[in-house]
Amino acid sequence: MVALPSVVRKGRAGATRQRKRHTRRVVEEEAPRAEQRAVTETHASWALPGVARWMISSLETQLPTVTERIAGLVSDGAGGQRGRLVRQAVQQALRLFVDQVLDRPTSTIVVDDLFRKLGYRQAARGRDREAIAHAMQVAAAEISDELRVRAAENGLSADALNALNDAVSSFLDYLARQAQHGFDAGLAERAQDVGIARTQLIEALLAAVDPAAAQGRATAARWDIPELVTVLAVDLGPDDHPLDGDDLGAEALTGQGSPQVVLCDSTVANAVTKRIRAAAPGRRIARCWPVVVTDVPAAWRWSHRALALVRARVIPKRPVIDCARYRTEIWLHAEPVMRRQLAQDLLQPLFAESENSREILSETLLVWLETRESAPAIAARLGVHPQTVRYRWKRINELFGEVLHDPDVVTQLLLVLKASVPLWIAGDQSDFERYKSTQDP
Amino acid sequence: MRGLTVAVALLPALAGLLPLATWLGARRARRAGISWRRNAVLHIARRSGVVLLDRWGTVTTGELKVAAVDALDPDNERNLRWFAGALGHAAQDPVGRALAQLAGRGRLSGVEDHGCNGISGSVDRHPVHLGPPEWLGMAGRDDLGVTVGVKVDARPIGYITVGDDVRADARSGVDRLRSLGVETVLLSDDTERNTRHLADACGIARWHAAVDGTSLAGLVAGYRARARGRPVAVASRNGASAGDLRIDVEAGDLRLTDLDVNRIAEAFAISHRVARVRRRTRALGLGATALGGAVAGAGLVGLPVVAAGALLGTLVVLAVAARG
Repeated sequence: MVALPSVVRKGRAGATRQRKRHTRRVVEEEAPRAEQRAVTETHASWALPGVARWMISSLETQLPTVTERIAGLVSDGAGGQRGRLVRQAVQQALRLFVDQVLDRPTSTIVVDDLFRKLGYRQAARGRDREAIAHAMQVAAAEISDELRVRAAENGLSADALNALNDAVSSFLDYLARQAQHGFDAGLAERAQDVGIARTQLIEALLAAVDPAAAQGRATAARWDIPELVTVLAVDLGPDDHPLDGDDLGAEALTGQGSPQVVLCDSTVANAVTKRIRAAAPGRRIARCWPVVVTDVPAAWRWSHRALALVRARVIPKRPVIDCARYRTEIWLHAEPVMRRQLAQDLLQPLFAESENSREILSETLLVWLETRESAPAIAARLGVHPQTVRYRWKRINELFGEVLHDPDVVTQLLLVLKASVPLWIAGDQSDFERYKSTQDP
Repeated sequence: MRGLTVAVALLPALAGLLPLATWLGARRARRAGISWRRNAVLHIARRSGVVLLDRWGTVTTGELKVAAVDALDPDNERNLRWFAGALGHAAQDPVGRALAQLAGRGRLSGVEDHGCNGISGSVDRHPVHLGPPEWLGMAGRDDLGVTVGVKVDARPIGYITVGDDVRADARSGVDRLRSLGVETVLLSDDTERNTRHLADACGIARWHAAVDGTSLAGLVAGYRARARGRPVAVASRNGASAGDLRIDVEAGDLRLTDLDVNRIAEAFAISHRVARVRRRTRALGLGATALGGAVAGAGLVGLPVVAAGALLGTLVVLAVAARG
C-alpha cells in the first residue's frame, strides 16, 4: 500500500480547520454588522402614524394564522426540518416586525440567524439564489394582502397604509439581505466541501480503497472515475507553489506535496499535461501509462520513481518523462536494497578492478549478456575494435570464472548490471565505497 | 687532293675523342635511378676504394620489422599484437612504425611520447604502455634487435622484438662492390651486437657500431688517411657531406633514387665501364686514323678507299662505345 503524502493528510485536516475558522469568522464578523444594520435600516427609519400602530397591535393575535399561511406558501408545502425552519423563521420575523412597530425592546439576532440558516441551506443544497428573492416576494404579497384587508376593515387611511407597506417592504429587504449572507456563506462552504471531497478521493485512489467506496467519494468530488486513469507526478522545487486544481480544470484531480500527484482521464492526459506545463513552467513531469483505477497506487509509485531516476541520471532529463519508455529502468530500480545486495554479492570481481577497467568490463559484459552476439557485433555496438572485445572477454572470464556458465547467475548478473551500470556511469560510487569498506581492515 | 684524303682519315680519331661513353653511361645510369651533375664524379667514383654504408637504407630497407612476438600468456598473443600495433601508429620512430604493421588503427586517446623510454596511450579506453622492459618494470630480455615490453591495463602481457629489415639481395650488392675493388664498411647507430649480426648477414667484414652524426666525420677522415689519396665514398641519409664522394638520395654528388646497396654497386660499375669504354674508343679512333693517314700519305690507295676505311673505322668506334 502506498503511503499517502503527508501533505495530502495535512491538506485534509487543514481544510477542515479552515472551514471551521471560516464559519467562525463569518459569525463573528457578520453578526455585529447585521445587528447594527437592524437598528439603522429597519424601525429606526420608520415613521408610522398612531392608527397604523394600533391596527398592527390589533393583529397581534392573528400572527399564528398569518405565519402558517405565509410559511405554507414559501416552503411550498415542504415538511421536515426545512418546513419547521421556514415556519420558525416566519414566526420570529413577524413577531420582530410587530415588536419593532410597537417600539418594544427587540433583538434581531434570532431572526438574523434563522434567515442566514435558510440562505445557507439553500446554497449548500446547490439551489438557486433566485429562490430566496421569490420567497420574499411571495411573503411580501401575502402580508400586503392581509394589511389591505385589515386596513379596509379598520378604515385606515391610504397614507397610513402606504407607510405601513413601506415599513413591511424595508423589513423584508433586511430579511432578504440576511438570507443572502447565509447563501454566500453556504456557497463558500460548498466550494470548500468539493475541494475536500476531491482531496479525499485522490487519497482514497492512492491508497487503493474499495472501488465502491471510491465511487462514492468520486460523486461527492464531482469527478467521474474513468475507465483508464493517467497518473502524473510533478516535480516541484522546495520554493515552488503547489499546482492549483483550478489551473488544471475539473477533469484533473490534484494532490498535495512534492512530487505533486495529478490524476486524470487518460483521454485528456495530453491536455492536462499541457496545462501543468503552462501552470508550472520548467517543472519536470513524469507521466505514467494509462492504468485501471485499482492500479493507481502502483502508477503513482512508478511515476514517482521515474522522477527519482531522472535525478539519479539513469533516465535522461526531459520536461515530460514518458514512463512507458523507461519501464525497464523503473522495474529494475523497484528494489534498491536488493540491487545493492546483489551487486555486492555478484560483482565483487569487478569492484576489485580500477575504475576505468571496471567501467569498460561491466559495459562489455552487459552488452554480451543482452545480445550474446559475436565479438565484431559487440564491438560495433561499443564502438571499439573486435580484438578489444576479445581481450575484455578474456579478462571477464578470468574474473568471473565458471559462474558465467550458471544460467541463474547469468540472469542475476544481467539484471544487476542493467540496473547498476547506468548508476555507475552517472557517477554513483556507493557500491564501490561499500565494497572497499568491507575490504579495509 | 692529298689534304682532303688526310682530313677524311682523321674521322675515326674525332669519333674516339667524343665523350660518347659518358653520354651513353649517363643514359644507362638514369634508367638505373642514378644521376650526377659533374662528369668528374664518375672519375672520383672509379678511383674510390672504400664505400661507407649507413645501416639505414643501404643493406636494409631503412625500416625495422617485427622479429618476434612473445606473449606472457599464449592466449594473449593476438591481444599483444593488437594493442601494441594500435598504439604503434601514434609513434614516429622506426620501432613504432614496425609495431604499427601488427594491427590496424584503433581509437587512441591520451597518447604521450616518453622519449627514449617509450610511448603510452589508451587504445579503446585501455591504457597501454610500450617501452624498454626495465622502464615498465618487466624482466629484461637479451634478444637480437630491439625488444619492447607491452603493458595493458597496467598488466604486462608480453614482449615484441623488432630488428633490421635486411634487403634480400644485400649480400650480392656487397659482393659486386667487392668485385669492383671497392671495400664496404658498415656504419650503424645500433649496438655492437646488432651491428655485427647485420654485417654478417650482408657479408660485410668491417663495421662500426654506435655511430652518430658527430663520430661519422672522424671515421671518414680516418679512412681517407688510410686510402693513400684514393677518394672515400659515403652512402648515408644523414651524413652525406662527410665523404669525398657523397652518395645520397637528393643532395649527394651521386644521386640515387634510394641507397640500395645494389644501386650503389651499379653506380660504381657504370663509372668503371665508362672509363674502360672511353679508353677503348680513344685507342681505336687514334689507331684507325694513324693507319689511314699512313696509307694515304704513302699514296698507296686512292681517296675512295681511304674514305671507306675512315668510315669503317668511325663505325667501329661508335659500335664499341655503344656496346660498352
